[in-house]
Amino acid sequence: MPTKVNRDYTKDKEQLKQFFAEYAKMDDKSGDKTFKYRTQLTNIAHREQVAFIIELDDVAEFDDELAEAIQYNTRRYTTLVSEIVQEMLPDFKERVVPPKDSLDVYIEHRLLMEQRNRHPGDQRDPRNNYPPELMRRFEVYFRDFGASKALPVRDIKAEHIGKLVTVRGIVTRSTEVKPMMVVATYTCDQCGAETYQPVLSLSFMPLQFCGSDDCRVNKSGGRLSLQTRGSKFIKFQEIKIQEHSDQVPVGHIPRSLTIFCRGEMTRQCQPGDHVTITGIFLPLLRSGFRQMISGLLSETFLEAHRVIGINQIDAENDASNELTPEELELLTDDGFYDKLACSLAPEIYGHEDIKKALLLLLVGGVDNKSNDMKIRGNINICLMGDPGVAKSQLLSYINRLASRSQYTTGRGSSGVGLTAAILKDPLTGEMTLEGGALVLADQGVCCIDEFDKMADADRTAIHEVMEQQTISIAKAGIMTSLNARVSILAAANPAYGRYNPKRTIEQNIQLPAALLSRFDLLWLIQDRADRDNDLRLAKHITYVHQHSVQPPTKSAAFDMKTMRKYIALCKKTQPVITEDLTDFIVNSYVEMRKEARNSRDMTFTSARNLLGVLRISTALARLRLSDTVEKDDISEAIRLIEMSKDSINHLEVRTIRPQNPVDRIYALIRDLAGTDKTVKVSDIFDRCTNKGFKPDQVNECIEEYEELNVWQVNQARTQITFL
Amino acid sequence: MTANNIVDWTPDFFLANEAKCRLVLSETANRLSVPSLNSLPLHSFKDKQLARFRGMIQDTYNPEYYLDRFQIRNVATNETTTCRGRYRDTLDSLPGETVIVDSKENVNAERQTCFVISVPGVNSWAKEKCTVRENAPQVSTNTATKRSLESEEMECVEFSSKKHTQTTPSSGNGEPRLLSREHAMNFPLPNDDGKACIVKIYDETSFKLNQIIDIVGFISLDPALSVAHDPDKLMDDIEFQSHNPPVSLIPRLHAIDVKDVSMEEVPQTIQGDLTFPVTTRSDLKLVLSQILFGDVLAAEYVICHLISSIYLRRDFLSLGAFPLNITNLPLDKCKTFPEDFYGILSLLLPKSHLIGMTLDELNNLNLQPKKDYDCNRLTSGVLQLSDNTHLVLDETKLTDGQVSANGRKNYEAFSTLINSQTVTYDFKYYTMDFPADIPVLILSESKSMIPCYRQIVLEKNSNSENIYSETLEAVRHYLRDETRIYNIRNWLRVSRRRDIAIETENSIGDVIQKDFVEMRQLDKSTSAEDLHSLMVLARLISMSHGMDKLTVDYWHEAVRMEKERKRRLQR
Repeated sequence: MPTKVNRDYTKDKEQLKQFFAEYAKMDDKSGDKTFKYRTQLTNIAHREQVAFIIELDDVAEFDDELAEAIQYNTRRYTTLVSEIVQEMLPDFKERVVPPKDSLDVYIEHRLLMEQRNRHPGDQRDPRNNYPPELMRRFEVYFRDFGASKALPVRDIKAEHIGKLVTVRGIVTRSTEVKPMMVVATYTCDQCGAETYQPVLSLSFMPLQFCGSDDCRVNKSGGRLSLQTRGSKFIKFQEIKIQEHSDQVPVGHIPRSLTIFCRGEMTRQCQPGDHVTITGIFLPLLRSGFRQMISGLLSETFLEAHRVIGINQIDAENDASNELTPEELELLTDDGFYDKLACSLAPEIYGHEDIKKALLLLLVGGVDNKSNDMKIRGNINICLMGDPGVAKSQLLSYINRLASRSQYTTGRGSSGVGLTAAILKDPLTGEMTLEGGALVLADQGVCCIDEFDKMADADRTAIHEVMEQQTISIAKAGIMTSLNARVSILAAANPAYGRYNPKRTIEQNIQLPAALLSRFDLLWLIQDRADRDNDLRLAKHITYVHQHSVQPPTKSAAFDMKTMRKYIALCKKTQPVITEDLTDFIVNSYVEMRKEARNSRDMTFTSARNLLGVLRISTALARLRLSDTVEKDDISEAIRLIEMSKDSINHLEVRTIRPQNPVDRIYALIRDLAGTDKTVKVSDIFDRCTNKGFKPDQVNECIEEYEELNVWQVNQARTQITFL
Repeated sequence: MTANNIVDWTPDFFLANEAKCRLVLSETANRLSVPSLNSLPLHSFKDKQLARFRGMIQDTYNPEYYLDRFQIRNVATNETTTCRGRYRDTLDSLPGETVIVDSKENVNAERQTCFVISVPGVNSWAKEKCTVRENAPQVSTNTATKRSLESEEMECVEFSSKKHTQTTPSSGNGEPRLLSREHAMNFPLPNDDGKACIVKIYDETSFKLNQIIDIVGFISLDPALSVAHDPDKLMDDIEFQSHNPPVSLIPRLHAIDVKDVSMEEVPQTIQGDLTFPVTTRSDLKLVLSQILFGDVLAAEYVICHLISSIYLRRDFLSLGAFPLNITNLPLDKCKTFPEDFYGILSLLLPKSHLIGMTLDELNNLNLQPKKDYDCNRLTSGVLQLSDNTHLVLDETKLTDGQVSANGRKNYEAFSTLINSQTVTYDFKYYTMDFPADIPVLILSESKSMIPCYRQIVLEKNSNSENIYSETLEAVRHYLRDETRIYNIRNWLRVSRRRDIAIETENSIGDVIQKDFVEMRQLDKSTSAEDLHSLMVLARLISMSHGMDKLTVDYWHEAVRMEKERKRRLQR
């Protein structure tokens, strides 16, 4: 354990000095050597840079033992590096820097004073008289090893005290940025000497009496008064982060952690941001009364060295997300495509093709960008179907599985809605842009339930989102375009409760064709009664009840974590469609068009379908982790599209009870009557013979319904009255 | 001091003789002889005395780092001694002694901190029984009479009278404090004599939220802990205050032994006694059918409801829940039926709660627990209940009017609770679903506004409405019989815990599958949901008949009951 070894800090100091001076990186392109730390030091010497950032990776390259030692006892090395930099800085100064603020002036004056008062022959560095903190205009920060993964707050334990750790979480609170005193400067009212007091903790006890030679010797008991302008302050902010929901074990409360940000680390994040923070985990030293009562307890905090907001997508590339070779082998078995599809929402029985489609949606196709032309790779899917066919369950499963997703209903719960809204900040009166679900789900999946009930304003915006993948805003003087590179997974209910196979999709879902055609796949989920299927369903359910587990499928379902990792891996490949497949694709498309023309088609077959085929086939190639699309991928893509069309076109022909003539005549009569209570029999005969019924049948109807007491017929049988 | 005299243990003694003490404590009788915080007033405890507390984990705080071993130096003599920081909050150092903060001998350790409250919704009979039993082996603690209370107060000289007034809830603001008693206690349901405790757990076992635990530990009543404010803190000190409430209100308990008692304990005597269900079940059925206006089917359903609990949970699927909606109540004649019915149920169930759902309640209740970042704690909501707490919703009081945003949220909360048995906790930046096991019974005039799959329409016996008050009285009288009600209560407990196997190899699976396929052929709307529900019902019926596996007879019984229920719905 490097902690146990007593390190020779003087040696380390020399080593680090050498490191800063000599560390260089070869630039791959130009072949030039860049002296990373020398450049930084020069910048700092000229007051162009404040933070001096040391990457542990670089140190490890130089001496890995030293890097480890730094990680284990970071606080100590921070001070060490500060001293080194302080010593080295004058050598890097190439020109005189004009003083920028009052503190600079103070420092300059002090140096001058010191020089004037100095006894000749005294070779001391003039700055030694002052606490080094006062003269420092830079801050030292370490960067964790690139390979170390971000821990959840829960895993930060006592063993991490003093070490450099990286945590991931969500910011829940943050204080205002406040000035914190680093060095307090006092002047004496008797002798005028300045006294300095470095402040290390959160509070300090002000000095009272002058300790200078003059006062001590004369016993004049000079009183000290604090000089605000001469003291050094640093920006300070306290923030709290909390574990993200996926890091919390089931049934537990998320843990939180206090973080102290100083100087350059302040104002890096706001409540609600997802962050990764590298810092030193330290116990909090209490002083005075508080220490007495807390007695045996010590509070802890993280001193921030690096704060990264991970609202950018590059978040998920830490080491924990890589699959082990064994897992990978398991995943790339034969039939892995079916297996993966089965692992989606295993508790929902059946619907294999839909699950396959959803899997492809998660993986996504490849974006094509050439010049200004951009073709989206994201796959959009719309699930339709009668109420109660597990649409919402599929949606919420996908929402949980996708690493980045938003779940919303077409109505949208907040005023922001689906797209974006311009809001007026109540405090400052400033106009701010707040993204809706589609913006928030950028680079992810946006699950929209009850898609058909969307507000009109959102509906127009969603056209743009689904092809161009942007949202244009022109409101309240703000004109901008927001990225919304989302895959849309929508669920829609039929307009009249049940899906009517006789009508077109537009009529059923009440959405314009322009919008519907933007979905690559439209599935109609139906619950069909068919003996074999029912039996299998029944077996499935009884099995669940019998064994309290899901029945074993051909292969065990992968858990969500593995799925997530695999999907992340798939997304990294960028398969291309090779030239020789062009003919095949073209022919297939022409075939599809022909078929659509010749048959009674409720769906849309357009050029968008061709793009859909390309998208789905690239997604399939990604799923195989292959770099080229193969013929099979295209066949499968076409098959999926055909299946989705089938689900709509070849609806099970509902066994519509052949209505007997009597019932149909009754319906006609009701129709005729409208709101009136009475109908003339002659009218009925006219109407019914027009429709091709025989008078016998009409009479039969009238009699039958009279018996049922639906209506009364008058004596002359010329008029009937509804009851 | 000996290990046998359990009440006199101190932290130091325990640490010195840990193995021996644990052995003593493992005996149930010894454990029970530890005075209980649940039933005894706080002022009867001394600082660092051993105490017992049973409650539900309402919140878990961040773990604390404490000095397990540390050294003390006596300034005068310059001697150093090693002390232990386990099981204590404060240092009882003598004047002139200081802790050596940077000693090499110091050992840091971590302990878990939980906020534990009295189990919400416990009915009075269940509570009383506990205290009577617990108090029995004790020497001089009778809290019932005021006299002894006073005499006790005189005994405990070390407690100032001022502190005593604080413990009585009537004078909650005895000293200027920011936070009220209600705020500090954080109960999901109003509970006047409830207690709360901050429990420090030293071993690694992790406890889940809403678990019921039984703790034996050293109580810490040092007034220094309830210091009102912290000058160092940058964040508002409201957080500090709510994490450091006065010990007189919320004592600290340093656990030496924690037991998970989420599963109700079944009295040993009845376990395995298979003869008792027959009469008890019919007793219970009689009681329920009488109060339900002679409707036997409804009574059967209620019995199933009362013994239901979740036995499988996976992702979206949770099996075993049996939410019930009783409709068609004769409210014009028997206005108080919901309350009366709940009154009977609360006699039978150890934990239950009635929500009279008026529009105001719906709009104003806080159902979902919510994280309060100002205080850094979880503010409880009504639905933060331990497993098997029966919730009865009285929808008959609902009037028409505007439903507020909060009302909508509450409605959603009820729906998710009923349909997936999860409660969504609001962490402001995200929400988290916590699994729950809360059987819900809805009483309404017609179909409940909250979607509930199992609706049973009451079929009233023609005359029963008129003799309702007499029936009610008779039922109450019937239940006054000590052994009878004792049997029913225990029967409910035993039945709930019964493990039913649905055997694979025998014909039952085939019968079920065949029946289901037939049902589908007859009525296309029969869904997978129906089969799940039928199987749950069949399972509960078998359980209630004391079976350990599902038989074909009870399956047919379930199918028959569902048919009858559906027939009633259609009319």
